[in-house]
Amino acid sequence: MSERGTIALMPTCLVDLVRPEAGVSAVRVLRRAGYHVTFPEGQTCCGQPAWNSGFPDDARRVAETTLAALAASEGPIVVLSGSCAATMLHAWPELFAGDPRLAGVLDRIVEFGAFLAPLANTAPTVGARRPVAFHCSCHQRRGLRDTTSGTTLISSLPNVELVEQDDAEACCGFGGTFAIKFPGISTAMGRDKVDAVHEAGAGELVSGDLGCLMHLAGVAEETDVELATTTLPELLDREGWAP
Amino acid sequence: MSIVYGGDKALGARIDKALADTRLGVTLQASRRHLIGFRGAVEERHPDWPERVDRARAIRSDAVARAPELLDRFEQQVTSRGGRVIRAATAGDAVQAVIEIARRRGAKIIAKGKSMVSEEIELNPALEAAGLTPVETDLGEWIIQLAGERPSHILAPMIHRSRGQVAEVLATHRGGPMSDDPQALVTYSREQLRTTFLEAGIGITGANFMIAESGTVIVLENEGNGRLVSSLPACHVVLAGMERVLETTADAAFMVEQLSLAAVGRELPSYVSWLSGPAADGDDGPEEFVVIVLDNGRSRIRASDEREILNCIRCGACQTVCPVYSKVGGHAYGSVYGGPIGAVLTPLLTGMQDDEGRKLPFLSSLCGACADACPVGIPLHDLLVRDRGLANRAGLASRGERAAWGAWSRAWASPRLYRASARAGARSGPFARAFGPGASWLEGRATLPLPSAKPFHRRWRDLESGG
Repeated sequence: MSERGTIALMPTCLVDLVRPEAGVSAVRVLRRAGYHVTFPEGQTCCGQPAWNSGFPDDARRVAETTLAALAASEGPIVVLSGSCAATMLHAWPELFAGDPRLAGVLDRIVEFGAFLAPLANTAPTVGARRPVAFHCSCHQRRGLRDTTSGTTLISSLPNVELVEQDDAEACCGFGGTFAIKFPGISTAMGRDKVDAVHEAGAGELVSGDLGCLMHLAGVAEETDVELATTTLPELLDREGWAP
Repeated sequence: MSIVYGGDKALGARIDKALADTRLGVTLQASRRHLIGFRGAVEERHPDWPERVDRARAIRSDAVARAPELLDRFEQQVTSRGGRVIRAATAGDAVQAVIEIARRRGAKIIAKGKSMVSEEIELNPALEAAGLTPVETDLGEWIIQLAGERPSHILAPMIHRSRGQVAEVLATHRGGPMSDDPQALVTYSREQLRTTFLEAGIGITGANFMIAESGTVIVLENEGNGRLVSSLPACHVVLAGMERVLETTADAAFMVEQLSLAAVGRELPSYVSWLSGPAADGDDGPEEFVVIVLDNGRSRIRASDEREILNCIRCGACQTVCPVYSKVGGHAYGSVYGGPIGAVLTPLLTGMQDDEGRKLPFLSSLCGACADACPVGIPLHDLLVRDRGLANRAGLASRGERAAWGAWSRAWASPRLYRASARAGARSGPFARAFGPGASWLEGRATLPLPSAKPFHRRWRDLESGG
């Protein structure tokens, strides 16, 4: 059952609270891939909402709890968000400078898609394929410098067809509290993204980052565009992905 | 504060106005796509682009760190060749220095090349108040001056205006009809400005770089007006931010290329002028050469942890590539410096004291496209986050906002209270929809994601026992 070893799952607060199904899917997919999945007790949030809002002390206070939980875990820390993984890798060294636990945690942090992509095999196409688009979040793209993991995994699925939307590198406009502080700009950016996905012929948008998807789902419904929003773990689970 | 001019209208109102201007959005989006396209070509021609950025960052960081020493050497060199350097601590000092030069020389008409520093110190209104006539000679700046506007982009100051809107301005100036044919617009402007070049008693330009070892000022431009302004009038005044200094000619040659590649995708702009003092006897050129070196808050930034923003070489790439800027344009920022560079720099220049200026760091989705576009590797998204913290501490965050984050962080620092907040959140739907962040979320989004009745941490026990 666990021939590939043990991993520590970090669903992130957003998946935990808002889309727990994505966490359940991640567990199933990781187990199918041969991992023993643990869920480190006591994790809450990486602190990103406060960090990005200019409240570093509040970010530290929350992240401290999660750092302690992750430090007590073993194996790769598989994070269900490129944005949270990037925050831990970039903000935590500043928040926890000199903390002896930090290096041992940061070395193990890996985003879900990046963790599984090296295991992807190209499956033979079977019959008609459903067109899906992938949104690589800005923090996955520029924070983790990873533009290929998500598309590699999706391309390995026999029953879906990856279509590329125009201007894929553009920010979707979510931006955490930016979405609330400047809803006019945020949703204008979101409409561009939704339109590009729609024009590419995809009725489903997949991303490793739930924040972007929640925002885009709201924009799509507001503008009467039929668009299913699916997290990467949910897609891999549904499509029966295995290495 | 002169850098921030938007204080008379709220940020939200400026944004709404910009978002309603659909032509603006289309223009800026095309410009953004154009930059992404030529940047791709630049990186193909220069596969060592990341190393170039590292080198540029090292050159700029070193020069800013040693700015006082390098500026002293620059001044010695300029002085030894018969020129003069004036150090201006404030915007007012710089303006006063220009007015004094004009009075001494009896100059009335002042021809100006492009200079963001002159915008920062609000030079034109001050000169007009002193009875002088400043005339912008960069085509975009001239149109904007005639229209009574501010530039909306560092490099392309009138990018917010359509061809038709330019024709309207020139028709008013001419007092008759004006075709919106680009050639007709340029021809008319050239005829008008030619007179200015010949009549001006003083020419003012900005400076892209100052070279310490040679006392040289470098001016980059694409229209030739900068060369005319710096060579035809009898007096050439350079306005330069104190951070523009570089040590060597070799550094400057590299930085000129780096700036041009980032700004327009070409190794060189159309005109590069290396100006090293007044003309020698009998040569063409100005008889008087003055460089006004402006501080205006820069030394304070240089002494802070945000000093890397002074490495900026004003290429405008972060503005063009920014998805937020490309939705609202430069005027929405209400600062001389808009876009990511402006959102970081404006509140720092004003010491976090300007109410409008310190809101600007929040005007970003933190997507990081700006930092990737920066030819000198400034981590703009990190500086935006740093500025947010400084702005909050300086008083931007209300007591209520600070209290809310405090309550949140105390709760989520405890796994037990975190779980309790999840249960409370799942029951808060109607409240969340009607008030606060939830209501803002629903502006333009039909659905508000609410906490699940059974979060993952409550599903884990079943999953765990399930295998």
